[in-house]
Amino acid sequence: MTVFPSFIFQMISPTVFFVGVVVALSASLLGVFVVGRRMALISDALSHVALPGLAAGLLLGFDPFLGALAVLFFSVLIISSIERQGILSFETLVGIFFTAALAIGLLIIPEEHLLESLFGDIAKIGYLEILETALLGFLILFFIVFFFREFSKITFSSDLAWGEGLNVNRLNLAFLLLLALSVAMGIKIIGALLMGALIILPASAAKNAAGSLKGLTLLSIIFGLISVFVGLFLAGAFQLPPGPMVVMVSAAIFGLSLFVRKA
Amino acid sequence: MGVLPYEGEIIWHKKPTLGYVPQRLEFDRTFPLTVKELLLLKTKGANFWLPKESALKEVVNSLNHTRAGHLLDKRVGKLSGGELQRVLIAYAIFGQSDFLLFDEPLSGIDIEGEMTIYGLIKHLAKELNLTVLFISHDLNIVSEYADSVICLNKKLFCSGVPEKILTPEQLKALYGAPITFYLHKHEEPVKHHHS
Repeated sequence: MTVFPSFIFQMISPTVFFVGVVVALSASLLGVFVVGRRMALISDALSHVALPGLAAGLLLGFDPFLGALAVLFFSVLIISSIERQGILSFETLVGIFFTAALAIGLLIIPEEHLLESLFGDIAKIGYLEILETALLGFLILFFIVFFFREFSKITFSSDLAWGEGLNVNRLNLAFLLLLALSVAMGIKIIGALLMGALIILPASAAKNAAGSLKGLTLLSIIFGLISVFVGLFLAGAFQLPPGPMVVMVSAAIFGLSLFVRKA
Repeated sequence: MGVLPYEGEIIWHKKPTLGYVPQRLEFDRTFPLTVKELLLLKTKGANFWLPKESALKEVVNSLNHTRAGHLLDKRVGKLSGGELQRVLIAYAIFGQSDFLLFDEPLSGIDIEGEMTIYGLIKHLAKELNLTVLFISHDLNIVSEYADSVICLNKKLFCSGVPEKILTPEQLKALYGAPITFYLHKHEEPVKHHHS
């Protein structure tokens, strides 16, 4: 017991463990489809869109998580509806929303909270956060499991999905909303800036190593869980911010995956 | 697909299960989906993750029908053009489809590959008692394999058995120029119905 200081155990308390598992599971499962569809930068950008919501919460004294959630949700709805007019591409619109949101966020966010919003602060997780994570996590996991085949078909080929009569537009919107939810959920634990990374990295590493969709999904989950656990542990051991540590571990796994590449 | 207005009605003996084979499939070659997994995506319940013996058997069966059984564990992104065609046909018949719709599925494949796949489709139709609706502009193929033809060029021009329909007079009316069908004319679609 003397080898590790006590805060390490605080870091990996049951509360943190639970929140970490739910965030890792949601992020790595969504990542399978994000990486497959080459939407990687979109999940990254979405994580920045959350900032003004966080800032508003901090300024006006309501739960920043709810602020982030609301801003993400409406951004996705607005982006989708403008996209349907067919003039600007989805990527362009996300780019516009992302930079504008980042600018607004940086302007209004109280300076002492800036780092926390960008990189998360797991030490501040309380019962409310656990409840929020549990609810959102259940919702996200339920939808992914329930629509796994539909999302897989669309990711593999939207032509094929159309041909079978799937409502590709509606499923795409649902997927983006799930992505937005998972970004909002991850903000507390690893921060807005790095949540996008937790969606992309485990799935990318898994894609390097997997020879099947089943393998890709399972490996992505495993890599996501390892990233969160090892990252939190190292953050505790060296008293470093947890968000960047989680992402560093994830990036290291990605680096290793390059060596087992199944071209 | 409900895009164009139409008149008339389609009367089925019983409501068919449709399998669609597209002309060209745009898909992500890097997505690590295997052939087996592609077919299992059509199943219900937990069959994708823990396939029942019966589901696996049906997958293998469908692939064997299109001589693609050996491709079971291959990644879809690594298939050749001809292999992909056969896998897509297997995908279309998987799940007890009794009606197959081909939208000029064989463009981009060399003639030899094409001929074997046309033969395969004809064979499948007989073996599995399928109705095949085949959209093609290739009169040689139509005349060789179709039981019944519908010629369309903005409106219905003719329909019936190929030998009676594909006469020089009819073709002239259809294409607006004198033509015999050994000349490859690749402008107008000819619907080719085979049941």
